[in-house]
Amino acid sequence: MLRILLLEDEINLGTTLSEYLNSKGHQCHWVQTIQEAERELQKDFFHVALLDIGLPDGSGLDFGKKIRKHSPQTVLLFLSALNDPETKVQGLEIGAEDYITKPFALKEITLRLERILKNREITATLPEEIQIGGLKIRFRQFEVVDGNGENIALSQKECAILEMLYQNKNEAVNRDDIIEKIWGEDKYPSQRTVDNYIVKLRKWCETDQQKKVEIQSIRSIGYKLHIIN
Amino acid sequence: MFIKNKTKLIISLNIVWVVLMMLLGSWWIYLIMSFGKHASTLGLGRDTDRVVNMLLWEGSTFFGLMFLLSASLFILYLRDLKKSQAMQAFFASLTHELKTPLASIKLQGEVIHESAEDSGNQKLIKLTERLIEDTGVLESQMDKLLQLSRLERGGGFNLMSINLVHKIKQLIKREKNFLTINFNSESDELIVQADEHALEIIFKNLFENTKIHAPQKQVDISIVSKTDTITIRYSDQGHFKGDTNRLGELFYKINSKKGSGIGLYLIHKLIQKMNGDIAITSTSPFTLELSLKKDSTHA
Repeated sequence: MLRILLLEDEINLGTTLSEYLNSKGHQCHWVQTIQEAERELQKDFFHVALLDIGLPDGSGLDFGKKIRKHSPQTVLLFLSALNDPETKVQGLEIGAEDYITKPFALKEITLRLERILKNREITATLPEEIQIGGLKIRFRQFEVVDGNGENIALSQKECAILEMLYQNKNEAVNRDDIIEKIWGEDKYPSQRTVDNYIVKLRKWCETDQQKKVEIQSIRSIGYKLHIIN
Repeated sequence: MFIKNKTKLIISLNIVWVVLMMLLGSWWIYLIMSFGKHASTLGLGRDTDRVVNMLLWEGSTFFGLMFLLSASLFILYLRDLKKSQAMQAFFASLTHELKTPLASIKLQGEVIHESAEDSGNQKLIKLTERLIEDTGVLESQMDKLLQLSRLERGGGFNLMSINLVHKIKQLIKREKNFLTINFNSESDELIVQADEHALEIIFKNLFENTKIHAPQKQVDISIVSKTDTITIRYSDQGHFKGDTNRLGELFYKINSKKGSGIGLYLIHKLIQKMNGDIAITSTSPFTLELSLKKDSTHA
C-alpha cells in the first residue's frame, strides 16, 4: 500500500483517478490546489506525489522542488498535458521519478506505482547505512555522504541506479538492464540519460580520499561499481 | 524558425523592390527634365512644356501607384502572417486544453473496461475497447497539430550524438503489439548527429502511415553507413500512387480520406532541420530513405 498525494485541478480526472487508486488498495488523497497540497504534506508523509503542472495557484514544477527539499523520500511523478521536451527535462531535473503526459494509459500509472512499491521493498532489506572507504550510502533516506562529510540528496533514479550497482558490486551491469529495471519495459530513455545519472554518482565516488570505490565504464556493456576491500 | 526566415526574406525582397522603384523613378524624372532641353530637336515647338508636364505627371502617378500597391501588398502580407501565427497559437493552446478532458475520457473508459473484464461483460468490453482506441486516434492527431505548431514557431532543437541502432531498437519495441518489424544493421553502434525527440516523431509518423496505408502490417528497416552519412531504409507493403515531388508538402494527400497530410511534412521538415536528406526510392513497395550526418567524433 502506498500513501499517494494527487494534485489535479480537473475534477472528473481527479475523482476517477483517486477512486481507482483507492480501489487498488492505495491511500490516495486528492487535492486541487497547491495550498491544499501543502497543508496535506504538513499533516502526513506521502510515499508518492502525483502532480499536475498547470494549476490555478501556481506551477506544479515549483511545488515539486519544494517537496524534493522538504521530503526527499517522497517519490515525485508529474502528470501533465504539456508534452514539450523542455518541460519534461525540467521535471526530471527536479528529481522526478517520471513525467507522464496526458492522456495517459492507466497501465502507465499502475506500472510506476508497482515499481515504486517494489523498490521500497528492496531498499527495506538493505542496511540503514553502508560505509565504503570515506563514503556513506543511506538508501532509505535517498542520500549519500561524500568524502568531505557532506550530505548529498539523491533523486529516486540516482538512488535506484546506485542500488543496482551496489547489489552487483564488482560485476559489470549492462546499460540496457539498468534501463529495463529502473525505467521499465514501457519506457525508453536514451543511453545518454543513464550516462547523465552516472556522472553525478561518479563525482561523489571521486571525493573518497581512500580511493576505495569507483564507477568504471565497461565499453559496449555498461558500468561496474568497483570496490576495493 | 521557418516562418521567421520566410518573413526576413520577404521583407528584404520588399526593401530591394522599393529601392529599385525609387531609382527607376528618379531616373524617369531626370529623363523628363532633360527632355525639355532637347525638345526643340523633336520639333514640338510651343507644345514642349505641355508634353513635358504631361509625361512628368503621368510618370509620377504611375510610380506613386506602384509604390502604394507595393506598400499595401506588404501590409496585407504582414496582417496575414500575424493572423496565421495567431491561428497557430490558438490551435496549439486549444489542442493542449483538450488533452486534459481527453485524459479524463480515456481514464474513465479504461476504468469501465477493467470492471467489465472483471465481470465478464463482453459487450461492454468491446465498446470500451473501441472507445479507448478512438481516444488514441484523437490523441495522435492532436499530437501532430502540436508538433506542427511547435515546428513552425521554431521550437528548440537539440542536436546531439545518438546511437541510431539503439534508438531504433527502442522505438521498434513500442510497436511490437501493432507491427511486425524486421530490423537490420551492419553494426551495433552507428552514431549520428540528431535530435532525439525529432527522431521519435519521425518514426512514430512512419509507423502510423504504415498502419493506415499498407495492406500488411509489416516493416523492414535497415541502416547502412556511408562515408559522412548514415542512411535508414524504411520499407513497407504500401503502394504510393501520388507525386513523389509533392511529398513533404503540408496537407498533401493522395485521393485519400485517411490521414491528415501532416505526418510526412513533419518528417520532411525535421530531417531538413537535422541537416539530413529524405528520398522515396520506390513507390511500390513504398521505400523511403532517410540520411543523417554521422557524428564527426565517431566517424
